Amino acid sequence: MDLKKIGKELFSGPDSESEKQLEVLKNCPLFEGLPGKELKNLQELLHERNFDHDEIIVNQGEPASAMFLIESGEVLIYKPQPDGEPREITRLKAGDFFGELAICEEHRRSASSVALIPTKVLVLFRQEFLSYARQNKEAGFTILVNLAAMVGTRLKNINDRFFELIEENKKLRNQLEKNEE
Amino acid sequence: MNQAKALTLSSRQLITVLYYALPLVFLALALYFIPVLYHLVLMFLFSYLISHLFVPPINFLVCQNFSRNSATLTVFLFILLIATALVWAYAPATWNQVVELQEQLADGDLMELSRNYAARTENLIPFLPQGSLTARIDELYSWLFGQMTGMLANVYIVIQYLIIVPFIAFFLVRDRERLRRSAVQKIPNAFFEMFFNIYYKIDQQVGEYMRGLIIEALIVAVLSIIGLVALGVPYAIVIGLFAGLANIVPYFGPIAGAIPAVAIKFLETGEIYPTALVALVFLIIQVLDNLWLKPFVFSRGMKMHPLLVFLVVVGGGQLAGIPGMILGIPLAASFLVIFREFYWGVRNYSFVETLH
Repeated sequence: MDLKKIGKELFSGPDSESEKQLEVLKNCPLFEGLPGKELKNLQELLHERNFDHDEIIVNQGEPASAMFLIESGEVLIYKPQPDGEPREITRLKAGDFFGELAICEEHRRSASSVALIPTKVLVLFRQEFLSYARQNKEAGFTILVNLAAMVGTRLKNINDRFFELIEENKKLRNQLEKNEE
Repeated sequence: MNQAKALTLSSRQLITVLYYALPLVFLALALYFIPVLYHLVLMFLFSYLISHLFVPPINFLVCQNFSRNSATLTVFLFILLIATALVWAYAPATWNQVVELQEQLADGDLMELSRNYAARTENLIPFLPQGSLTARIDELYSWLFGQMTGMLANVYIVIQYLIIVPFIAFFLVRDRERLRRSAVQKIPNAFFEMFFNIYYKIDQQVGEYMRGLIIEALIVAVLSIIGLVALGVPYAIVIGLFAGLANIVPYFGPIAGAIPAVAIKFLETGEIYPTALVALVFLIIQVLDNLWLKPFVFSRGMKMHPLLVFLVVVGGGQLAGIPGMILGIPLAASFLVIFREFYWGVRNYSFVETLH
């Protein structure tokens, strides 16, 4: 009877740590600034899912309760169009993530996503993340600040693009008026 | 070549069928054996309920840089230490009170007193047939005596529960996250978000309910002991603890909890006024419990209509006695969560598009 083995099974449990998952967390800007111990705690909350080629991951309009980190594979984010051909928004690769707003508020998915090749994603559910953040206030604060910074940058980019479009619109209108004259 | 492909496909199909059928077979077997494994099933359900009590202190320790394993072990050892100390300090006194109470019931003094009262009542009320009340008193005493003897005989089963339930609970708490992850992992991609929501909500509700229930039982027990000691009721600790424990069973528990104290006071003094005072103490505790404690326990926990709670308690009692009354509410609430979330999920997730 191997007492050491029994002891290990009783009090330490099988080793479930995956270096790859930790690597994904470490390289994700959302978790930047978190110490290794916190990344390991967060890793305990991740659910691994495998999607086949062309398998839909989330559908636009569905309730969003989790964010997805891509461990391997490629994901297409798109807007389904009522007249048929979906509009591509972006393509994401290993290390990228999507649906991150779901970790702090209940809303509906604003776009759909599909696996372009066999893809492995790590899923972080809002309920589990929020309960983790309540217990690990410092880590939760860091993650939410990172998320706020990301959303802020995105908003700034959208603003810049919006003003660019207004300028372009003005120019086109002026040109149109000149042509009419 | 084609034949080989066909063979591969059919074996894959077979594996898929087995993948989903095996758990169903196990479930069917488990259901078939439930009557035989009655105590094992109850032990598992109690362990699941009790495991929720350990979650907050373990999570707290994990936040203080403990690993989950050492946090679980620390909390269990700490509780074991406290339980041992309490048993060491109070078990002899409590046991003496139980034995004394039993002896007194068997003694006949109390029986004689209540018989006299019954006879006097029969004389006072002319339309009561002579001897009907005294016969009732005899029946009540033989039932009570049987219950007490049965309780002492059940000590063996109780000790089994006291050892096995914490043992199962230890693993349920230690592997909580892993169990949740492996349960979610078995679910196909199309349903896993909905399944997770169901699993998480059941876990949350049961956890909040259990923690609230234990706090409620403790407060009721402490208030009862204080009240009984102040009124000089004998066996205050046993009766107070029993009242706290009985309070876990809704509707019937509080009445069952008050009966021993009221009966003992009446039999001891033979007067209405001190007996009414004891009843008043229990009434005040119940008012406090219902106005202040119960809303706290039920508001965040089970979202069940009071009538449904009542029906579940009665049904649970008929199916499995007192354990059925206690387990009925969390089980019924879990089924409600499954139904609610399932129908909500069907309306809100587009499974058909994601199914292959």
